[in-house]
This record gives sequence, C-alpha cells and structure tokens, in this order.
Amino acid sequence: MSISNATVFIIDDDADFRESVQWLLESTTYTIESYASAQAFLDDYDQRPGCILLDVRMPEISGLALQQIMQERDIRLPVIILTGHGDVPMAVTAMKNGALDFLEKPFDDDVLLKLVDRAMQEAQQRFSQQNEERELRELYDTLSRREREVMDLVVTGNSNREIAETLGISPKTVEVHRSRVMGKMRAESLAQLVQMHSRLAL
Amino acid sequence: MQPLEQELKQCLQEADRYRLLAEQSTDMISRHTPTPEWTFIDVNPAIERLLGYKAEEIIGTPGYDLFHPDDADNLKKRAESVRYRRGMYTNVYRFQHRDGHYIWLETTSRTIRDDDGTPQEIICVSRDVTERELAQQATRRLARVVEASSDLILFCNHRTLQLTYMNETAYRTFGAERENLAVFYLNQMFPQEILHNLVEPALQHAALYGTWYGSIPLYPAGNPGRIAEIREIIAHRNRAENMQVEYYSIIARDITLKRQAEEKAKRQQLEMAHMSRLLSVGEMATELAHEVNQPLATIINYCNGTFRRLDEGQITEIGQVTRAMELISTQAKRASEIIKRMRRFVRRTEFQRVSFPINETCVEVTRFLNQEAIDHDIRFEFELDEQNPNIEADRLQIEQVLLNLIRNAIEAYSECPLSPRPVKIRTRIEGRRLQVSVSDQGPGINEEQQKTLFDPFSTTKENGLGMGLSISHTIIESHSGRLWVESDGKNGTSFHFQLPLKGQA
Repeated sequence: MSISNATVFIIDDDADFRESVQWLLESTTYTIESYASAQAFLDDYDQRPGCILLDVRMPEISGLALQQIMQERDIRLPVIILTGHGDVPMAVTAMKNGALDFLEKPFDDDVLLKLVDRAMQEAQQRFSQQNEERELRELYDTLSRREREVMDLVVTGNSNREIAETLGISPKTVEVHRSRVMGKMRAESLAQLVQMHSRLAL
Repeated sequence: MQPLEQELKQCLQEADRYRLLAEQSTDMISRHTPTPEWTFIDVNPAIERLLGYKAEEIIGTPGYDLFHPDDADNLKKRAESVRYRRGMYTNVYRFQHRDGHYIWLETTSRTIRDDDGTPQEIICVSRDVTERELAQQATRRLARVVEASSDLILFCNHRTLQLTYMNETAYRTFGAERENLAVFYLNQMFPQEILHNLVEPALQHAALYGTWYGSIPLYPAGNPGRIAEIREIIAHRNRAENMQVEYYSIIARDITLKRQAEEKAKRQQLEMAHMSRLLSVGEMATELAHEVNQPLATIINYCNGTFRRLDEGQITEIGQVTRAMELISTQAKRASEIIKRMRRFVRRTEFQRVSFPINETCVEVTRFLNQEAIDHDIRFEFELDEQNPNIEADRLQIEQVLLNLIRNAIEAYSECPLSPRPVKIRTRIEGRRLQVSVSDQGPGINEEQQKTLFDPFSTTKENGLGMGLSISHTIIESHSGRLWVESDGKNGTSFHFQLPLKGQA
C-alpha cells in the first residue's frame, strides 16, 4: 500500500464542520470520505486503509463508543480525536482506547495535516502488520492437529525425545512432523518459528 | 289682720302646691348641708325610685359617702362633667343605689346663702341619666375605635363631598396636620379619570345598596410615595328624613408598606431568576463552548483550506473561493446567533408581561439545549396545542421554568440505560388556563423525594444547587399559576404547570 491513496475518514455529526474539514484536506493527495454518524461509517467500511478524524460528541454512538466497537471488530485505523473543548477525562479515555492523538477545535491546519501524515504512516505500518498476521494465520491454518501440537512443544524448547515422550509417539515421527511444520510455516530457522508463534498470540 | 291672714292662707296654699309639686316630681329634689359631708337635710319621695332609700332613712346621713369614688370630687376638681351656669352647677356622676350598684345622676345644684353670703344649704334637683350615659359611653368608645383604627376612616357629606371627619390614620396617610385643617373634598383626592370611572360609580352603588366593596387606588397628593386603597363605602341614611342618604363612611387602607414589600419580593424574585439563568448558563458552559467552537472551527478550516489552495496555485479563478467565502459567512452568523441567544437569555430585565406563543417558546428552549440533548442521547417529542395559544406572562421567566424542567428531564436519565431517551413537551388549553407538561421516562421521583422537591437547596444532582425547581415554583406562583409533579417513583416523571391564558396581576 502507498500512503498517498489511503483514505481519511471524517466522522462528525455537524455537516458544516465535516464539509469544512473535507475542503481543507482536499488540498492534499488523500482521498476524503465523510460520515454523519459512527453507524454510517461502520455500515460502509470495507477494510480500506486510512485513518479516522473522529468527533467525540455525537448522538447514538459517540466517538468513544466507536473506538470500542473498532477494537471488537479488529478495525485498526489510527484515530485522531476531535473535540470542541479540552475535557481531560474524555481525552484520557480516548487515549486509553488507543487514539493516536487528540485535537481541540478549532485547530491549526498545519497541526492537523502533520497529524494526518503521521496517522497515515502509522496506518501503513498497522496495515502491513495486519497483512502479515493474516498471512501467518493462513499458513497456521494449513497445519494438522498433530503438527500444531508439535509446533507448540518445539517453540517452548522441548527436544525431539521429550516431545516423543509427551505425545507417546516415536522420535522419528516427531522429526517428520517438525520438518512439515517448518515447511508449511515457511520458517527458515527455529528462531523464526518462535517469533511467528508469538505473533500469532497462541 | 284680714289681709294678713288672707296672705298667710295664700302662702300656705302655695306651699302646699309646691310640696305637692315636690312630692309628685319624678326628679329627686334634695337639700344638703353646705359641708363636705353633704348631709341630706330633706328629700322628696322620688329618692325611693332613684336610689332605693326611703326619705326618712336617708335624711341626716352624709350624701358624700354615696358618690362613686372617681366622681366624688367632681365639683372640687371642676371635672369635665361639671357645668356652671348662672350660679347653678350641673354635674353628671355615679351615685350608689341602696342595693350597692351605681346609677348615673345629673344634678343641678344651687347654694343658698344668707345676707352675709354665708352658705346656708344646697338645693339639688337630680335625674337618672344612666341609660343616656351608657349610650354615650358606647358611642364614645365607638368613636375611639374609629379614631384609633389602622384603617383610614372618613366621613363624607353626600352632597358637597366634603370630608367632615378623618381619623388619625387618615391624617397620617394624607400627610395633613389636624391643627392645620385644610378643607378636604373627596373629589380633590383623585385624578379626574379615577373619580369618574371608579369613585362616582362606587358612591352611587353605596347609595343604592347601602354598601360598596372593591378597590380604588388613592395616592395622597400631600404625601408622595404613599399608596392607599379604598375598600368599602357605606351610605348612611337618615331615618327622620325619608331615608335619604345623609353621609358616606369611606374605609380605606394604607397599603404603602405592603406594596413596598411586594415590590421588594418582586425585585428579589427577578434577581433570583436572573441568578438562576446565570447558573444555568454556568452549568451549560461546556456545552455552549462546544456549540460556539463548532462554527469557529469550521470557519478556520475554510480559511486555511483556501490559503493552502492559493499557495499551491490550485485556485485559478475567483469563483473557486466564492463558495468557501459564503460558507464562512454562514458559519460566522451561526456563531453570532448562538451568542445572541445566550445573551438574550442572561439579560437582566424588569418584569415584563407580554403576550407570546407558548409553543414557539417551548421549541426555542429545546434548541438552546440542543448540545446537551445530543450528549445525553435525548429525543425531544412535542405535542403542542393546535390552536397555537398565546399566554400573557414574563417570557424570560417562563423560558427559565421550561429550561429548568427540561434540563431536569434530561438529567433524570443519567442513571438509566434506556435509549433513545424521550423528553416529551406538551401544551394544552384547559378552559381558561394553559397547561404545559414536561415528561421523561427516567426512574421517577418517589413520594419521599416529592415532599421536599420544591424546597430551596434540595437536590439529588452531584453538581446541582437545588434552586431550579424552587425558583420555577416561585415564578409560576407569581404568575397566578401552579406547578406540580406527577410520578409513581418508578416509571418516569411529569412536571406540569398551569397559567392563566390572560394574565392576572
């Protein structure tokens, strides 16, 4: 993915404000999409990369509530919170929810644009990370039950003999499973397999 | 000797006649010693009817002992009750009856002196005036009551409208001196308009039906700042003269202090309402700041977006910025509208009774609370009377009441999972009154809480002062209305207030 074709999603219930941000950001190379409510965004979102400019105060689903829904749905778009006033407890909650930063309206365009650029870099990172994880998951899904058992025991430092004893199979069979795991996971070394295992958060 | 005898006989006859006259007289005729004891020398039989004594019982006893102790020295003291005329004293006093009680006597006495001027005896003619005295006493007491009354009491000649009597309070209210008596006429006390429209009809009514009750304002010219109010006029008729009206009694009350207290209360109420509005705005400061920031942020975005395009040479013709300029001015207007609305709300004003459409006011107040409604997921529902009624009241104060009630309804949901949260505002004409209701579906207010609901400083809110409902209550009552709550303590709360459609002062 390249940053320049990523999308800035603006979610704010105030139509005038939404349009003004759009007008401001249209001077950049980003694609701009704006939504009048969190629900409209959720209904429309299709895993495209980008970042969100999110108003906290909105009817029905507030900005903070949307952050939680995004966590549940594993939507990892970086979020920049926009607020009409510096409400400290709300800012704390937003940051805890994983917001990238916090902007008080009215804001300086340079600050916003820098933040959006930063968010886009973050987005790219998160996006490629998410892709890798997805690929890993796909590889892992090809393993058989026995191969997964062997993999779990291998990455925790067991020897072939110990694994054979634990699973009640011959060390030779363990050796076969082990090489299949390495092959299917496309791991070049034991160290790489251990890393993959931890990234899969098994 | 013949003529002498004749003369003697004539004299005896005359003496007999006098004795007869004295004996038959219903007045008591008595002779007394000219000594302090005032001993009875002789008395006619009338004494028995007056004092219960027989003549022979009392002759030779001191009359002084029978005087009422307070009246005994009337003559010596030259008391008010004693009159002197051509050598004769007339004294009114209490004298003890044989049974022990006192009767009022009016006695005319003359001292008989010899050629040297030495007093020989005192001759008295006495009459029982008890009834008359008691009647006079009652009248005197009545007069004292009238004189001392805290009401203004005036007597007025029915033809000339001259005031023939004014009591102490009346003098005080008029700022007149009793010593420096100006002639007062009823028709000089009122402006022409009040005289024709109120006073004259009231007098006519009294003349016709005996009494008039009502209220006519009276501003004494000689005592600026004073306010009185005529409340009753009684027409007194003369029984002797064909039941013609003889004079009027006018009863009025000095209401200066009451009026001052009312004005003070009204001023305090205005202050309170003003304070309450400031408090409301203070409590809503966050929302208002957000609301004002919104258009400001929008303006800045349009400006910066435009600069950026100019910088980057994206704008080649002026038409490309016109739209942004238009939007900027729209947003600036939006911000100034918010500020205007807020300023109008906190403005300090005098009590102003105007006629205004209540439905519109309800909607306007909810607009003021727009941001708070968004934050709390509130949905306003309206059920407004289709006749679009006007009420006569102080608009700002009624707005304040509505604001308090609607904010309470919003806050009723704070511990409540319900979504969305309806706040229903209803207006309805009920007879000659208008009822406004604000209802929520929050957890309700139990009976115990309802008892102290309208007391000042009673609050369940963390940041509340507890003045909102108390002030609202005062405002509605000062508009001759009523504010009450309805809740079963479980399913929601309704606040209702009723106001007269036509204002009553």
